[in-house]
Amino acid sequence: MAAQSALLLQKVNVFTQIQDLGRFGAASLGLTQGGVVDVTSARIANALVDNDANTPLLEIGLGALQFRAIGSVTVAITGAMMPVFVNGKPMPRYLSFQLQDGDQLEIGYSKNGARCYLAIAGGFAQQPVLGSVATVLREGIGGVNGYALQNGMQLPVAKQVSSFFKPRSLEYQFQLQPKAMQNIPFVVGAQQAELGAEMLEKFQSTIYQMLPMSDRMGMRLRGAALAVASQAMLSEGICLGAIQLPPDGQPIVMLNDHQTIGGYPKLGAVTRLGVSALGQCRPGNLVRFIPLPLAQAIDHARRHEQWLCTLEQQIRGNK
Amino acid sequence: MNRSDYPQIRQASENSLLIYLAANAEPRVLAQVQWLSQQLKVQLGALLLNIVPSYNSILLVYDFLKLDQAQLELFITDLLAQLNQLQNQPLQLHTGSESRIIELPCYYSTETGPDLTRVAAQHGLSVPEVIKKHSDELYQVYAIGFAPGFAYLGWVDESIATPRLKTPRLAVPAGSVAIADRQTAVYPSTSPGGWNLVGNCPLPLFDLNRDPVMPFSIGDAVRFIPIERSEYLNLGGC
Repeated sequence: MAAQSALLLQKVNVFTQIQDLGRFGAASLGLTQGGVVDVTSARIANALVDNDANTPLLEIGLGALQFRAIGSVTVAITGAMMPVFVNGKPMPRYLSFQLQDGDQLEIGYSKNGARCYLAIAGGFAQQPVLGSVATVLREGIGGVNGYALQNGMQLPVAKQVSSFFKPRSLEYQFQLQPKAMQNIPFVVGAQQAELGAEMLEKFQSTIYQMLPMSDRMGMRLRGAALAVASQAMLSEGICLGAIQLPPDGQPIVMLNDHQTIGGYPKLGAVTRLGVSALGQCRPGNLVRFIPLPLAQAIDHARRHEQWLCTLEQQIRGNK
Repeated sequence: MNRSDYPQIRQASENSLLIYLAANAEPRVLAQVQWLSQQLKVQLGALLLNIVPSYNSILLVYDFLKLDQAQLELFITDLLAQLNQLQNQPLQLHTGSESRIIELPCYYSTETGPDLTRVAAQHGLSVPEVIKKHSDELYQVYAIGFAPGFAYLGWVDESIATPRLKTPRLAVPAGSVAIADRQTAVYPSTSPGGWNLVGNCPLPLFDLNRDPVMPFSIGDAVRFIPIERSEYLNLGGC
């Protein structure tokens, strides 16, 4: 048996990447933050295999993947409802389980939700670039030397963990339940004053449909067009979740691989929790944007963080 | 909006603010952007997740679980007051911001700048005239973005300002020196792009294995030094 355990990628797709919580402090060099889109699902996956929150894991899009264990590894899968099979037998999500050398792990197409997270006990061994392993394909940075994962690659485990591992799980009520119609919270800001109250009103009262050309850079939406009077704007920094209005008036919400600067006006930004929820939407899903006063958005975020920290502790203690 | 409306602090998201120092981008404003960015970086340390200075603004992304927004705004207001005082002593502001002049060698040629003759013809100039105008100017780094290490330099002389290509190229070679309207830039790595290519700078401008990763930052000044083909090849051009 190999000294270092690994996962062999037998069948992988371009929507599957090594991620962590993101690359910070490098936006002034033009580098985006990257990182997992659905932070909650990713952190739970890492907690289920007793890893730290920022441990490198796989963000899996679409589904239909096959892996083979090289040596013994412990994994957990959370997030979107992609069916999991070990040697052809169904295996629940939100459960850590051990794979023995040669075991086959399959992840099917998602029944609901867009991204699932596969964490491995000990984490995937990758060299951080500017403090993070987050893969950003457009920049050619992070993950496996900035390249897309390929069939036949082996992803070694960073730290070999004890072969004795008691499974941990998370009850159904705490698992991700993506809805076909999502209410997405946002904070009003940036150029909203120039864009006007009427446009904000129209944005809030429109039901948008997610378009297939969405990717980790931006979530593209279709609904009532918000006609923006063309006015030259100096490019400025763009934050995660920013709601951009390009000339065609169809909003684009900036996700984790967003460009760092841009010159389209913005109505504000979807909250971090809203970005996680948007990231689980699939083409055709409907979303409605709900404005939150800043204090309330911060309060929600703080309470969610407390909830998640408690949950992580419970999972880790739940041996 | 009139001048007295600046500086402004605006909400960008639940954990980020946009600070606008003026309506327009000009060297004086850029020096302020540079100074304020530096202060924020040093004084906020790890509470600052990202900072993106650009033209007339700064985007500040902070750890909102640890930093109270009202406190942050007070802190910024205080820095803005200090900046206002410094402005009455322009020399201090300038030395405090550590502006540098970075000289970049550029091999202007049709070989490395496939749009050079067209740019010249479009403006009724000769190729050497375009080269002289482009290399005489002292540019400033107004923003960094689009791609890792891509610096927006302003402003090229009006007489050689050239609009972007209607159809962008799928692959612009790394090092290409390019013009778009009154902006100029060097493509740090091979990427798609719609700017007019006039030459090539053989020096690496974005290298993660170097410290610093980039030779310049926002507010620095850049001048292009025309070089011959032999020197271009000696410096690693190809």
